[in-house]
Amino acid sequence: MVLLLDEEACTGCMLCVLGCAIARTGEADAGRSRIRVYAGGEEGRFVPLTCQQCEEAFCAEACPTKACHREDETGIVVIDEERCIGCRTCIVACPFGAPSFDEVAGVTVKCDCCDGDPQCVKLCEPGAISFVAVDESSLRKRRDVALRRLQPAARTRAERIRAQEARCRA
Amino acid sequence: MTGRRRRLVILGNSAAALSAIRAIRSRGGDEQVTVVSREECHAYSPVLTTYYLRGVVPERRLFLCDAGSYRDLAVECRFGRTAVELDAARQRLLLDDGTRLDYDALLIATGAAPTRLGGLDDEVAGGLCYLRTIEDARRIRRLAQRARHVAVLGAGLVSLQTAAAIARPGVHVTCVVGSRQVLSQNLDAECAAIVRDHVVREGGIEFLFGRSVAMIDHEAEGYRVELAGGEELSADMVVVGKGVTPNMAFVDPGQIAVERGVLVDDRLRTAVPDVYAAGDVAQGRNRISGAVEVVANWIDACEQGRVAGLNMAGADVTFPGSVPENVTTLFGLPVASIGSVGAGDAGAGLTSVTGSCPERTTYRRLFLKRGVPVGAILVGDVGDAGVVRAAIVRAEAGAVPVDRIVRGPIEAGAVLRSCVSTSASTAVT
Repeated sequence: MVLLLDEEACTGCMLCVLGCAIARTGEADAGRSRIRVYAGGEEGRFVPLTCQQCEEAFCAEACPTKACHREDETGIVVIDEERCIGCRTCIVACPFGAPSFDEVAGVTVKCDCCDGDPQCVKLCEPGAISFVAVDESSLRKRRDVALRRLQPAARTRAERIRAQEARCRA
Repeated sequence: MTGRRRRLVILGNSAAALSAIRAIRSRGGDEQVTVVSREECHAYSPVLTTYYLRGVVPERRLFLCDAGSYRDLAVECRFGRTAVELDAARQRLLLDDGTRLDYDALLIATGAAPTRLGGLDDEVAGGLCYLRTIEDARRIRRLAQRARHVAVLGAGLVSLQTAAAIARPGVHVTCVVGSRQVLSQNLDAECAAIVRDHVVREGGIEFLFGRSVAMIDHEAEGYRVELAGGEELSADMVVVGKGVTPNMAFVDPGQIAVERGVLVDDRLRTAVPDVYAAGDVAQGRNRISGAVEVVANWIDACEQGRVAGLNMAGADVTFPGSVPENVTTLFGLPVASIGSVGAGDAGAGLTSVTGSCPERTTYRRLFLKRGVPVGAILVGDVGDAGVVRAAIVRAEAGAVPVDRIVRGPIEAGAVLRSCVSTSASTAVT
């Protein structure tokens, strides 16, 4: 299972960011969240980002303590906080910026899908975050990339919001 | 001979070697795999030895493998053995205990050893400390408990980490540095000055720059370090960090081409068929600069080992090239260096864009060659080091938001956006 993030649906409300921080640290500190939303770009788009549990996980491969590893049963890449020394090698290895150093805890943390019950999914009102089986997500991702290539002038924000509203009504 | 299991020999037992073994086993073949390691112990992480010195990591946590790991991977272990001679023509390897190993494919992943200081009295030379192995770390830890004045020769990553681990109230650490800055292999002068000031302020470490060591002698219970130019300092412990030398004495340069390391192509093959090299002993293509050099870091060692292992097991996989990178934390200040950063003599033809925020001790500098980002130094906030690294690796002129990166930590979304739009427009045209 992975978290599938739909940037077309994201409204940038940041509930997932705060919700994650509260669920995992007990504090509404956006800096300690394991999911991020990039707000910017020319069209005022929002790009939600968190760990995609890469099939070839550079973070786990690079970790010198093997604190960062894939769990056999779930296939989810986790960081064992007991073993992590905060060396930040995984942070350099991950091209998506998914692991982050938690200054308070003194270790590196990343999204581990809340033990199979991701809190961000429940909080995301527009339904931009879903927790799906790997096959389905890679299919949808591939389709989306193809769509985007065919249609380089992406939809305007207004169009996206209309589409979201339609989805919410449905 | 048909039906005989292929014999694969792995020389080494660290990042590259372990990745290679896992890659070989991932192919599901029935190769007979033998691991030869000069150390008696199971594989451990040399990256962690400085953390062990600081007391952050207990010794048992250094280990990456236990006996069960090798059993699960079905490898035969020859630990405490050194390769003395490689006969590539006959595909056979001679070990120091006289054992002969015939192989169908061989991986040289022997790593590197600290470069020894020459021209010293044997007894003095034997007393100096180097840091690479777990045994080295144990020795430094033991000696540091009693030391009051420590001389560290060099100011590279290992030297600084060692100095930082030893320094404490009542223990004076002096770093004697040949060049004019710290981390001369990783940082430009400006950034090095920020790191130096931090280390001096937080750790009370003293630096003597532009000095070379003329002689080291015994003196009472410790050592007298004489510097060229006549200065002297007394120390009860001397740690030497003068870089590393690849472990390749058993390689016959007449058979296998070597320069600073064992030369490899993009499949990690040496000049001889069926002999591969990976990790700190290998000299291959630098993905950013195109130069053929030894790029020693944990991430590349893992990836090279994986590619070499897959190829040894019959696949045909290429390695896109090494990316110099290092991330370290000194007295709480994280420092990351990625790609070509104008350190050493590699500064020619590079321009740079700098952003800094002194009150938060953050400093960010991006290096460009003909307008394309080729390297970055991040100090203070390194949370986006992976995003910046990916941007540099895939850099095309105009696709990387340079100004945005030097202003402050960048979100992957910002880079992905620009890359997506670049690839989308390429796909359309």
